[in-house]
Amino acid sequence: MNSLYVNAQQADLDLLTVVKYCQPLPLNVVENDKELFPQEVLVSLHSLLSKLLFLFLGRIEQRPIMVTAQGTQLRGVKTIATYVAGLSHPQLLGKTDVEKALVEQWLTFSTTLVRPALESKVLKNMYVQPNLSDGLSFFFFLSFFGSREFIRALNDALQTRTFLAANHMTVADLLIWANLNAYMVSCFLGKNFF
Amino acid sequence: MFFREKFFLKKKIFKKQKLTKAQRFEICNVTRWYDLIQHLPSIPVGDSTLPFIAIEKDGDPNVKAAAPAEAQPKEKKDKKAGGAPAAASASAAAPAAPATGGDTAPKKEKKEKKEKQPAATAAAAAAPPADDDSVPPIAKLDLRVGKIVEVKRHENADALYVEQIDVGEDKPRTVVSGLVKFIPIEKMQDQFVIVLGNLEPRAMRGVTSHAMVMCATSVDGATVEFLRPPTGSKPGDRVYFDGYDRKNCTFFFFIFLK
Repeated sequence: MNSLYVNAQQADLDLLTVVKYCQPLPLNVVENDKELFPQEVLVSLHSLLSKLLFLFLGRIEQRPIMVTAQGTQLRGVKTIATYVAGLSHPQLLGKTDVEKALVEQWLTFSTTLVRPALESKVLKNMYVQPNLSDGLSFFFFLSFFGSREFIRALNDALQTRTFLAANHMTVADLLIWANLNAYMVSCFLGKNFF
Repeated sequence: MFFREKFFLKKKIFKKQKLTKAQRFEICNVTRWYDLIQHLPSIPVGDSTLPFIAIEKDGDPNVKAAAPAEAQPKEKKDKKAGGAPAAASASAAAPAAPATGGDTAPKKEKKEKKEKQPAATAAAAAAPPADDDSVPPIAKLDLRVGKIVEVKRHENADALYVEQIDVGEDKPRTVVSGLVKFIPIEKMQDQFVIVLGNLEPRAMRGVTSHAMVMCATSVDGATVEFLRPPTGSKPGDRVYFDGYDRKNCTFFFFIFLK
């Protein structure tokens, strides 16, 4: 039986979405189990303080972790999502070679651009208006452009397409869709997640 | 950990707000894709962690709004309901248009008049609709349910059928269509089809065609089939694109075909 160790917070919501979508799976999802990996230091790299802490302790939180039935450890959202999707729904990884390459491209887009931009909670809303008279907030305003750019890139890519990578839904669509959920809530319902 | 967030909340540097209509339209492709995925089957949406987001469809800000009195009465009518009044009575006696909804009757009448003119006076100049810019192009299509009452081969052309199609008017329309290679003649008789009505009449090898039959073709072009209206629809029923039936234009439209 495969086991999946995740954080219970929002951070792994996208991976849990993929796991739920591929549901009839022999998979055991464990949230926040500290005993099994005592060597893991549970800090996240989202804030400045935890980055400093990471410098001293020298270890990085690597949840989610999947332990397969053979005992192999898989780490990282992208890796596990690809593996889980391939187990139950192979068409989620793309049918042709080009589709597979595009899925890979959008998965990288998700982990390098979408998640970092949305995980910093202040920047969730693309259109929040900074007060530029405040000197400190100006520097935060500079980091807005990351979150603006990824949503524009996504918009341009979807202009002529129904799905991101293929003519059907792929695991890249699922991951980015689940990541965008909190963003869309703030855009359309006006709530936010502080 | 919480230092940064609390700092920002306290100083109220960032306003929290919904996007305006123009801002939402900037990311309309993402919104369309997002809405499509959350409607797909077996997507785990709707619980507390992953809430379902109802997307407001209140129109393209780039399209100028029509006269407000006209834009207000919205008729909730999808393709399957299809209770449009018969086109014949609207063209014959305009004031006595059958009123399904009282407030929408004058609007419908205007539309009927616009599209009946080319059919009634074949050579006369068709009056262009007054508000040409405000109507989205797809709403200008006059798609109707029609019944093929008579079909025969074209005398001068091998590939053409000449059909008489009842679209709810006084007399059936003559339609010429090149379906001989794809659909046998016995499968044409008494079929319900979808007809595009507001076309300029055009002579095809000596026979004037007053409409066009809507068909779907496979990718390689080998097979062609009729677009079939849902069972229970009558000749003359209008076919709308969902959301485009009136002068409002929305981000999304879905056509559900059987």
